[in-house]
Amino acid sequence: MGAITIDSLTKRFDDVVAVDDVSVEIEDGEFLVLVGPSGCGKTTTLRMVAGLETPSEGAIRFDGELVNYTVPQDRDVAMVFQDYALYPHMTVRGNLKFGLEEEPDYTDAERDERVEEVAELLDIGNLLERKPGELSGGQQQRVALGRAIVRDPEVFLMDEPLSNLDAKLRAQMRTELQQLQDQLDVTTVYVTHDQTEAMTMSDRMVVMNDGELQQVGAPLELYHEPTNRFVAEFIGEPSMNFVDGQRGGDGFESETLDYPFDSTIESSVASLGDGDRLTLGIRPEDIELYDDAADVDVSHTEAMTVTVVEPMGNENVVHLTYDDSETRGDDLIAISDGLRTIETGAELLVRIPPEAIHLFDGDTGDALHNRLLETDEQPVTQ
Amino acid sequence: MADNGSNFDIRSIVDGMNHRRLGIYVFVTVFIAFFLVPLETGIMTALKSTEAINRSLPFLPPAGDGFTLANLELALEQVQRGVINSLLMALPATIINIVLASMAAYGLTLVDWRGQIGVLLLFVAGVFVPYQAVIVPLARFWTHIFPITEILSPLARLVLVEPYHLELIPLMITHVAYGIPIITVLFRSYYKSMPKSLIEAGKIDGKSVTQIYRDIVLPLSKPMFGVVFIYQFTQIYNEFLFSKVLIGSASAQQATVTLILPQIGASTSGLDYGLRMSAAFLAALPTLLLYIAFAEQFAEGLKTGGA
Repeated sequence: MGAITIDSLTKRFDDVVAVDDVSVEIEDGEFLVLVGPSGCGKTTTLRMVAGLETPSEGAIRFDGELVNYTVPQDRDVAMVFQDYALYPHMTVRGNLKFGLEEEPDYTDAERDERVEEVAELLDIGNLLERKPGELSGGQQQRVALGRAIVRDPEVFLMDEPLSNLDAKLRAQMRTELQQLQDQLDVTTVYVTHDQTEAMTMSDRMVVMNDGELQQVGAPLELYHEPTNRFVAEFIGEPSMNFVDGQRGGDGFESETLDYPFDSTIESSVASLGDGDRLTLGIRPEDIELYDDAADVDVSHTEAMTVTVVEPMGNENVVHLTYDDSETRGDDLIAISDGLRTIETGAELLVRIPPEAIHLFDGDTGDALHNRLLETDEQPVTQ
Repeated sequence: MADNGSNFDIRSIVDGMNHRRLGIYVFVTVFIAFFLVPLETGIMTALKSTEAINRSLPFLPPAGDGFTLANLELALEQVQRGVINSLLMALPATIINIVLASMAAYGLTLVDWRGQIGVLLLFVAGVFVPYQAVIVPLARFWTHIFPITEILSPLARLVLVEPYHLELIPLMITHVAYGIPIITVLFRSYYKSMPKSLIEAGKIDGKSVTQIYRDIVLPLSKPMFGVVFIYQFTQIYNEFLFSKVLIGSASAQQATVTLILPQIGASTSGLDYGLRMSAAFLAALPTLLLYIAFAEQFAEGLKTGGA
């Protein structure tokens, strides 16, 4: 029904390569999120799937059928635009009905019925006679969604549909969208720069940077097993800590941190020689903080000073620096339990557990070693 | 201005402000008078008898039996024919002109196709073709190469159509052709500011290029239509050169108001200023009414279109 194959897709605007050799298989009914920083080519990719841009190279297939040059009118896709693009001169009813007029299998009465039905589904039944200019942002957003749903397309395309809503409404719409997609079971390609949206909503997500595909996978897969430093940094809030250093001694060496490897880690970095550049990554929530030396396994532990504490209620975000650090910036960010009191300026023992570290090639950024997952029996290596 | 060094006095600031404001008022009043006196003089002259015009200062209102409406009545009689001809020509010409220009601008701005820039440059070049350069070829074209009046002559048998009405058609088409470039450029700048996502939403909704124009672009161009309608109607209604070349004589049945106007009140015995002024005001009435009728759209169009 709505399976999409994107094969070595490339888009150039004059000299600028916006999308570079991207390949993804999207299954029917799947909720796929394209995520990346602005200018990474995710919107261009979506627009090519919609037919609003023509690919420079590569192929887009809907159920195996090549659609590179098919106009949007013939693709049976619906799109929700970032600015909603509601027709300002039409009522909500007019907006919803506008696309439906081109669907041949309806009588006029059936069209009206369908509009009412979708309006009820989205809880905008009482707004049908209003113009978009008279609606709030959230209501406009629902109308834009309704306009997509009403036609019952093969594919939904959404271009940052929640970015203009306030935080609370965004969270609410996120859930609602997810439920809706579940209910309708229509293939959805969703573009966002917000990694929280991507994590929470997607079946699978695609991380892009500089037009290139970085990684495709389920949200937790990307979180725990990033293929490179970019993905590791982009996914997760606050983002992963990175320490740049080199291979040396019996593990990792840097100006601030010496970190011996055990045998499992050693095997994944075996190819590197002494002095090769290496980056160590650790997620803030994996860092263990101790007040008292008596509680700690002495290995992999350093004394650090707290510079800033950001209490979030459920957790504290703790900024840490080495005592002898010359740079005044933070060396690590950790997360501690919200009920634990940590004072600014306090000295803590910081443990970086070996099972939670990630290692990246210092030059290419490729992941050499990912954290061990407790659910996995096998060590996860790249 | 109000700064008196160390001697700080709040009243001097207030006084300074008042003087300044007073200055502005005087300045504004002088300029309003400067611009309005000719107009006022015109109206007063139109309402005075010849004798009163010769006797009194031009801008003073008519006194006693100096007041007369005879000028207006006579002027109406003479100018009527020209005003009707001009309206018959200018209204359809303006409407056809702006509709075609809006379509062209849509095609050149919101639809993608190869060679767009070349065609656009042709339109822009069209803006700069001087009237004087085309009048001779134009006259020959309509009489020898494409005598549209003769071709359409069977239409003269229709009810309400007089043969001389057909004589206005070459003029009408000339105005349409000549007006399209500038109006297209104006519409183009308006369409460029229109959110592209609206057009894209139309495409996604399965609408053809024509449907998108009719259902989305056209309804949203209403304010711009107001602006260009006023502008172009005034241009065509007041135009003289093409009328002179294509119609020629003020005595012709199809003569436009701009041809007739210079003849009114002129005779060997001198100029009848009262009659001329009356005729001028009557001739200007349609454009004036149009401004009043479309004032709202005009303001809105200027605000949104930046034309």
